[in-house]
Amino acid sequence: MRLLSAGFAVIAALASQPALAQTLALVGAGNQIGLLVGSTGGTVDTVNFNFSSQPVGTAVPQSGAAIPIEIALFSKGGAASAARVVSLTASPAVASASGLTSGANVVPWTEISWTVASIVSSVGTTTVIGPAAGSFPATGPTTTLISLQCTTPSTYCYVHADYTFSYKNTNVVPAGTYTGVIVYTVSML
Amino acid sequence: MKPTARSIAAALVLALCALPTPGWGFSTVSATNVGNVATLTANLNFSLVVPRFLLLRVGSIGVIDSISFNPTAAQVGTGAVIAGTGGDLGGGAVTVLAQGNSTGTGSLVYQTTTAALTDGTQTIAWSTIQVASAGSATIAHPAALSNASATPVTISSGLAGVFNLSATWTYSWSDGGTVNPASSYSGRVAYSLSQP
Repeated sequence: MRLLSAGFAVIAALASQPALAQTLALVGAGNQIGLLVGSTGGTVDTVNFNFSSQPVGTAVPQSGAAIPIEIALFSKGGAASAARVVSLTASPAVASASGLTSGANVVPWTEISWTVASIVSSVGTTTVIGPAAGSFPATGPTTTLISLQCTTPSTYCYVHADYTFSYKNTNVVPAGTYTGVIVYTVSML
Repeated sequence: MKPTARSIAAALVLALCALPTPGWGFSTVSATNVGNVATLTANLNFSLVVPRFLLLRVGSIGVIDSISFNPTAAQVGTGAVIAGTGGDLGGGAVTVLAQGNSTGTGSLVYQTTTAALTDGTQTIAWSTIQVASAGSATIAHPAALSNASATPVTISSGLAGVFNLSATWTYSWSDGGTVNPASSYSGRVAYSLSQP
């Protein structure tokens, strides 16, 4: 039980760090990667676009709430670990591969764009690709949204940004409630 | 090899860490195993609520346009086609936009608010006003206004489901060779778009 106890001790120590500390756990001697999309604590957030008096299809964007997105790497040590690159991409879930759906009606993912703000990276982070404004592709994954490296071994490094999503409102579409899911994937290569 | 309490505990921690957690997660990969790829995923839901709506624009936004025809004395009774003035596009032309997104089939109609153009006493038939349409053929205006004002006149009855149509209507006037009493005649045409 000594190792298990040690694991909890490290988690407690990380809790004092900003951002992703509560989502990381250290096990053995490996590196750790972290991903935060929206709220902490296991909640899957929903970005809502609700028209008020704005007519549909006028190309006046409808904004949703800002969503914090963060990726992190705890480089446990050694030159090799510092060289590892952590990258973030996003893809539609299988059930909404072609876009947001309302019955048989589809709003393509290309209608959803985003801007970024409050970009923060920790000391010791090399941001290879920084957060930037963009739009989802019609199908399939995005290009890399963010990627980082720890500049030195044994470093906890992260990049954070607030993503504000907008519905472009380009076309007149059938009335309805459209839903879809985007899956964010962080990978360490 | 028989598992020890220590190895079981380590395996338990590793298993817990491998569980995907909605909204956030974590994973581990060996620092020495450079060939491995570690991944984490997190979901984000999107919801778009599109309300039912119906939009009709004829001419300027928020203003009732006036189209005027001013024949010269030499043109009276000749049947000459007199171009209009006014309208949001000028020259007696107006912008037309019809949009809807419900499931039913909509219709676009017009109705004159008086039986004829009138100066209060004398009248000139509405049918002396011609309308040229450009743009969407679905909402092409009848070539001349109808004299019947008791019931709406249908411009289009096939506006099914989602539609987003635009056109330009250009109004002109001709007395058709009739000499009308000198005066100023006026009237109003009301356009209506509906969709169940």
